[in-house]
Amino acid sequence: MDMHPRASEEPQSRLDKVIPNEAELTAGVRIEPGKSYGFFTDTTLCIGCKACEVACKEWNNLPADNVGITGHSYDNTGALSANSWRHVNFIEQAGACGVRENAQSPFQSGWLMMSDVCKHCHNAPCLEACPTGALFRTEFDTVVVQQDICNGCGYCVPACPFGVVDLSELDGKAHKCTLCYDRLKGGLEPACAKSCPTDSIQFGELEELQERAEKRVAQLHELGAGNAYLYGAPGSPGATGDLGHLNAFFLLTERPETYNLPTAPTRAANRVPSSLGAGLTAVAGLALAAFAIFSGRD
Amino acid sequence: MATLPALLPHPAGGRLVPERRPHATSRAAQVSFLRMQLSGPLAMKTMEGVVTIVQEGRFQLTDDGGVSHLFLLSHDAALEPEQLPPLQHRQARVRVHYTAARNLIALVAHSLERADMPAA
Repeated sequence: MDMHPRASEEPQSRLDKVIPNEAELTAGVRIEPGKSYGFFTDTTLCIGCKACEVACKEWNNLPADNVGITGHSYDNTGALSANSWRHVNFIEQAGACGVRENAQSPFQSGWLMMSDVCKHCHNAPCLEACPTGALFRTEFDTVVVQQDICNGCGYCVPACPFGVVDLSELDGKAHKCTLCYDRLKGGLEPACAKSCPTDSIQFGELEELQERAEKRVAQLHELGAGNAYLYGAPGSPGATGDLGHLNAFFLLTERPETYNLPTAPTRAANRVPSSLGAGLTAVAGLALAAFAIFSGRD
Repeated sequence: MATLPALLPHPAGGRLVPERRPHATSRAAQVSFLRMQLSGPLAMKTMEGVVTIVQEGRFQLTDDGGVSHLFLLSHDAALEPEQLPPLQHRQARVRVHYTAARNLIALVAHSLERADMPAA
């Protein structure tokens, strides 16, 4: 990656102020309200270092949870939660009957690693389910929970098709990734993307990220990894069920279920008409049955 | 010399079992048990320091020794998350009543008061 021309303006190693529009230097993008921003996570580049998890907890002042050993490979956080807004999945690829194969194809065939995060869906089901308006869409096209408005009803938790939103037992409020809303407002790249040493997590303007991702898939196909595909980009798996597209989308090399992602996520609101219809039909049926029973007594 | 406990017939099978008598030091044992409970994770403790970082309902308190502690605002705290940033901006000295959190490297703040102001 070429050095940004502005980088020569900031030669000092110790800074006494925040660099204006710092994301230009670190991610090559100027953050401006009114544009769509997101993450492109290339799982073929993830080395499972968990720098993103640490950076997220450090910036957002999130406590370490699940203290101890999970027993699941190198995974100590276990899953996304109210206190873990980034979670690196460690998936070991075993051969037949659980025995590791001697010959393996390139691109991390032994281990699959993926840094999971809130997808900041275009049509976010959590936002649609929130009765208080605590969940809102920001000027950067991301989805954030306002802590002072959240009443902890928990409707957003089952509405999320990815199991991202979680209620904290301690403060009784919903928590999830804010895509570093405060950093974006200050012109800074989100902490996780900035800390990623392999650029597996890339932050940027959504359209540009989608173009970059398409090129990366084509490059991987040329290199022999024909199983690479995008999850959550427009028209791809993950962008189903009226979700539109995911602002945080992924490049995967195995089926989505392997990464604990749903194959075809849907909006909870899509199921309302059929559920409402079934409920009304049941009520009408019971009313008819009651009428038939009580009218036959005379 | 220790005395053998009196034997009573078992209500179910007629076998003899030792009688359960109140222990001579039962009050002392109860006090000891309560002390142990109060010094455990559920015991309310107090800490004073300066609020140095605030994120939503989470804040970092730096104590007089320069050690920073992470606190989460409890649901029973009479304080909303938006009341925390002014404390950080003023570098206010506060007194936090807290408990430890289970399976979490953080402390749970149940009440927070300005330590540099006289109590109302």
